[in-house]
Amino acid sequence: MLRKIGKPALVLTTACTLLFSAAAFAATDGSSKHWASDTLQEWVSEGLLKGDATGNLNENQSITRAEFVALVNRVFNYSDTSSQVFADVAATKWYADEFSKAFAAGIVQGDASGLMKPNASITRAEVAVVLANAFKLTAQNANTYSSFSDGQAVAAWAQDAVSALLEKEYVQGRTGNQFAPSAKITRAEAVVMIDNVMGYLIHAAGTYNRDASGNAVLNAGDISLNQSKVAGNLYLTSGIGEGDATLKGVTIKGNLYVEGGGVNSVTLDGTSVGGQLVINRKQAPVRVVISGESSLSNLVFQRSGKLVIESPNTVDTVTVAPSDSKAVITITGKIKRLVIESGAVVDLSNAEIEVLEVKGTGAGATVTVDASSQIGKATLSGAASIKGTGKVNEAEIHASGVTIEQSVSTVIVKDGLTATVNGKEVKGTANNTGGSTGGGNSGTSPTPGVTPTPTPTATPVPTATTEPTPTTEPTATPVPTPTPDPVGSVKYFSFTDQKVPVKLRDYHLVLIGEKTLDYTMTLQPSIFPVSDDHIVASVLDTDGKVWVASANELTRFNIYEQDAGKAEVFHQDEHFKGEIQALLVEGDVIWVLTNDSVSQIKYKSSIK
Amino acid sequence: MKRWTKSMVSAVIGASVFASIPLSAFAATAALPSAKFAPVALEERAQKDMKYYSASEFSALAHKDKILAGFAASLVIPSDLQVLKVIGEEQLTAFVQDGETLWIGTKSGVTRMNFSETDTRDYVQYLSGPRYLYNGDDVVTGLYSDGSNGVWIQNAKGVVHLAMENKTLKEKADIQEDIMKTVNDRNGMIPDQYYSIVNGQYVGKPRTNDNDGLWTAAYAIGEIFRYQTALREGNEQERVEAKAAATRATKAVLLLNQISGRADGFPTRSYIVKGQEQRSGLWFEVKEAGAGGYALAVKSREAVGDKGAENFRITDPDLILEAKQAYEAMTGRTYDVDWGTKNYYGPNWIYPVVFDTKVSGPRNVGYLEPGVAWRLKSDINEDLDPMLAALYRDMGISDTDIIYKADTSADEVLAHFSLFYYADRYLFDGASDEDAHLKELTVQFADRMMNHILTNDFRIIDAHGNSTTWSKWFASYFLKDDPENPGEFAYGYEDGPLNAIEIMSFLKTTMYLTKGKADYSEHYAQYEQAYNDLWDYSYDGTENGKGYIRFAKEHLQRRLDIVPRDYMEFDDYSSDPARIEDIVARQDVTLSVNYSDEHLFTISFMPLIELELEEDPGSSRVKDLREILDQWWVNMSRELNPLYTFVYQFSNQDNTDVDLESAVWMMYRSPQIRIELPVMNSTRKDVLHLDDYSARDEEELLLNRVLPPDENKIYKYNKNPFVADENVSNGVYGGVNYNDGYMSNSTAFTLPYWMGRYYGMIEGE
Repeated sequence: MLRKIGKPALVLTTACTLLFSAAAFAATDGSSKHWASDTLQEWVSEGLLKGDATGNLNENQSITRAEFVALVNRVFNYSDTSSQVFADVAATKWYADEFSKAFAAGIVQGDASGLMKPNASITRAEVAVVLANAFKLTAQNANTYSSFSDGQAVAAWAQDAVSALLEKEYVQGRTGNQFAPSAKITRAEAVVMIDNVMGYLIHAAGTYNRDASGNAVLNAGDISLNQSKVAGNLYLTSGIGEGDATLKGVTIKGNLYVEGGGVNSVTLDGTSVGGQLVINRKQAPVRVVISGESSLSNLVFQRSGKLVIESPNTVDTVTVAPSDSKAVITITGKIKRLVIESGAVVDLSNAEIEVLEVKGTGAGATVTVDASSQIGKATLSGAASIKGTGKVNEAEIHASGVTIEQSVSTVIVKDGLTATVNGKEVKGTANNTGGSTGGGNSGTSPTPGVTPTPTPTATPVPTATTEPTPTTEPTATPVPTPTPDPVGSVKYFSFTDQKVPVKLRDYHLVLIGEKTLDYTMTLQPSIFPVSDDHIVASVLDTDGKVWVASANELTRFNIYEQDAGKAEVFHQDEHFKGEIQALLVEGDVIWVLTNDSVSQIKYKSSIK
Repeated sequence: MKRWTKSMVSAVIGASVFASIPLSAFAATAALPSAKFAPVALEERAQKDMKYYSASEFSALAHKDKILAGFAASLVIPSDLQVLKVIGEEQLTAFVQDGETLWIGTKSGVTRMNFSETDTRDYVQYLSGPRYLYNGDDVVTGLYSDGSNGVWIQNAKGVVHLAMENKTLKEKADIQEDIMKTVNDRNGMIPDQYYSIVNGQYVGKPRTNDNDGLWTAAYAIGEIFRYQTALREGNEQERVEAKAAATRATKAVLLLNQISGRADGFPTRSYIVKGQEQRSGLWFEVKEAGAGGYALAVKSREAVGDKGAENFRITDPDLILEAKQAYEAMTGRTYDVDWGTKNYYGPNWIYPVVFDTKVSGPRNVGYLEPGVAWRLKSDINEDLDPMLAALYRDMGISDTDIIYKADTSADEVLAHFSLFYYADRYLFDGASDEDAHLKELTVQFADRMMNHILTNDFRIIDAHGNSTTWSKWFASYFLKDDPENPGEFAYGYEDGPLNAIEIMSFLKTTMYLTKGKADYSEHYAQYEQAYNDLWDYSYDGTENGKGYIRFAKEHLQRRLDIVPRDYMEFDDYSSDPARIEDIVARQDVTLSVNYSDEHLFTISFMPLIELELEEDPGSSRVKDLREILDQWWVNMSRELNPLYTFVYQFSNQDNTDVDLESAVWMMYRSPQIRIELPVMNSTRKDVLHLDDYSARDEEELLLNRVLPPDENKIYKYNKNPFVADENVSNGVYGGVNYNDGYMSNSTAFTLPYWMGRYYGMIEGE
């Protein structure tokens, strides 16, 4: 146990002395040694755990929500605070700061009423959720929790967390294989639970060489971890602040989470990451440098940051997916595939991208390609912009509203869509839109055979006014008459799309912390003052039916209906993507805000 | 319900007089004939009426067994009703369905659903806290439909019967009129009041209120609209009752203008009768009544020189000498020696009551107190008008039983002026001696108070010769840079836009009242000049009354200006100044709104805009006033407040977009009985919580939308309706005693109701 909390070699001796001297805490609950005393002692010696005024650890007393959150905060050394106010957390209380940090870190949210219940004993289910949030654990199988004999007692909001912890064997059943989700846990159990998930913790500057059989956490600046193996995830927490973190010759089987580090930088030298490298530093952009014989297949930006790839062929895919449309991502180096999933700003500087993919949710993104950078092929399914003077060899456009400043050797625009390339409007036709936009050409010109278009027959130069299909009726209306969307149709929008009602756009910004929830936010989150915890939103439609959403399911029904089969069910990935956060009815459509995007479902014929 | 008996004598006289008066010119005439808005047709809606039973009281009910059987049956919750799955097994405790009404009992109160209600906002209603669950235990243990649209609600503490009977808003107004007379009326004054329930009837426990004048005037103005509505509609019984009620309340306010006997336009806040509770402040007891008599200051914490007494310092050398000599004569000791060690002592001032430091005793029942060496004297310069004094004399109270409060505030003054206007113009319209006399008094008192303000450097002066604390309209009071405290706002900077409208309204009102009357011609000219000065000059803070229109237009700016100062008082903000900067950057004026000011602004604005509209609806002054109102409307419009909505519609009669429907919905959902009880809305899931506190209270959680009044706290528009909880601490409701409490004044309902009807914004009853 003692080895788990790491210190640099120089101070290790001192630490041992302290650990032994802290043994006075051990017998606080009686003369016999407590089953968790080793771990408790270690935590005490490291300042992670404190006794009461008399030094008593009260190992067997239940732990409150506030105390548990404080323990997790210490592990991660969170420093960011939130302006979020909780009705039952007075600013003067000791735990106000703890909840503020925990909320900012996204590990607690309060209950649906915005209450933190600081002095309530935390339940096993709540512990699972906090730990899953803190350590970013998700279940491989969402139903794993049901293997507990009392699995049906696990509330929906805790099922994924319980499943995740069980899959990793961080939790075990109690007598009769019961998870006992509502049961309290003792202070000793809480510490051991966190300790199990945490793996080892390094919380002081220095150079370390230590393998981890599970996870590992680095929560302070200027730490170097050398020639080590981490069997689970490695967490570079926000506690690193502006300091450096260096991983040299480290093999990480799981994910690497970068939430701290400054501009000089988080460095991976000869380091491999089996899972994802997730860049998610809230305070300020972090710079991540990949050098040497490093290898990683998948890197994800969840917030602003800089990526410098110094050695070639080290990164396969970089995904840009910050929820904040103002996020700025700067990339230097060579990568095979750059995927943009949200409306961020991406600057390519001395970068070479084989394939750029802008997803539908990437609408609003701006990719600036400087003169020293180039893109091989860009596939744009969202209304993004590509700017700058760097070269774009080929563009395949599957969404309206795409703008590419520079000339592009080959452009394919999907039938019926319009894009602007090199200052010219380019329209897609049913046949082929392959063409070049270089050299000041007006519009597109056909270049059959260059692009893999399905209908390579020669067509007239597509113009903005002609109907391209070879109909026999030349007087056909030049602009297609818009047909009403059929009932049940679904459209997807980015968070920033102006077609999305401003209430939802603003609410999204509130949820991601980019906007203050003030008096302009008049959204009614639910029509039910009291509801089950798994209900995240509800709304009344113009037919007098209610729509009720859990995170993953949307149903519509008449409140007097007794036949469950008559409720209309709208499914994740079919009618919305991600987890539902809010609903809004506008006439004959309902808008669904999720953490992924916004969808619009037509639920009744157009109102005349 | 116990009926009003206190003024039976005057009511009978009143009725016989009113029966003979001619109908005024307003009869049968639409109030706003050229207005373009469409009225909202009123209809009956279900109104909530609660009866509270402790466990023992319930067990005494004859039909309790049937109800108990119903409670037991409600615990069997159907498994097939979709909506119950939304509430969730964790929450559900009881359920009963009555036709299309679902009563859903939970661990957090009762949710009522009925999707056949007229207004979709009423589909889901929330019943929680002690208003609906006995003693505020929100865990429902049983429900039983009463078969008449209501429900019996059981919890561990007792049972509440919630009846829901269809009623008109007029019936609600009548209920509140009855309660005002039974509970709230104190010699004609109608403030909030304490009550008890004795033998099943509400009984008032009269007590002084610092805003006796304000609330009585607001109530009276509502009764005047009621009177005019009845007059126009030819409803004789309503007309007689309305006139009696309006007249009685107006007399009470007029009496406050005279009861000190100073005859100089000073309006007292309140008065009590010896033996009644005296609250803080400076009070005088009448020693010799009538012209030539006098009153003496009464011992209180402030009167003797303690915290809060700064404004009561007397610096007149003659009075100081007199007081110190009296002290020495009585005690044989020197005042300065004895008092020199006290916190509030100063060699160059004394306080209105000087007493022997060696004599201890309570300080707030001073008129019986020994040890008093000297008291400030206030001369009585006129006899009380018998018609006014009858309000207490008819109760067997003599003039020398009176103790009046020698303090006032702009809140009081503005309400007096507005009432003067409506009473003179719309109430005292008959040929009777009473009407004529009261009309004369109204003009006289308005003139006296207006003249007092103008001749005392735009302040109201108390008996000690100093300005009263809250009645100030002088120019430097509103400066951004306080000459006496450079770098800080002058004390009235924040209030400037409100006070500017006040003084404009005072002058315009008094001009209306005195115009064309020979006795007032000289004063009228002064008022007219002063009124024009408010509009025609620039404002630099040096000349009283010049150019106040300039800062009347700075309401929003000044609300924002005070944000940094006010929020630095809060730890959460002073430790994170970026939050303050954020409020300023996004120009969130709503957080620094003083909700009481909105009410005061409205009461003052009403006569002002009416008179200016009458003079010239297309004038630049009307344009300016609308611009000012629009600034206040930024926050007011969020509140769906019927009074503010109707005043806004009145000021913009061509505007067809004003949300009259929501204003009426708020009246439908306004509680019938305005008992103040704890309310907790912070835990409900159909609201969002704002990120910031109000600048006026760091602890109060704010909601993002206004709740229906029967789910909110009781408020008279002078409280922030967005504050989530009332009288709740750490998630626990404050104490409740259903037989003893505080009854709010009805003006929040009756004033807009009758105003709306009179102006034709609502139709029917």
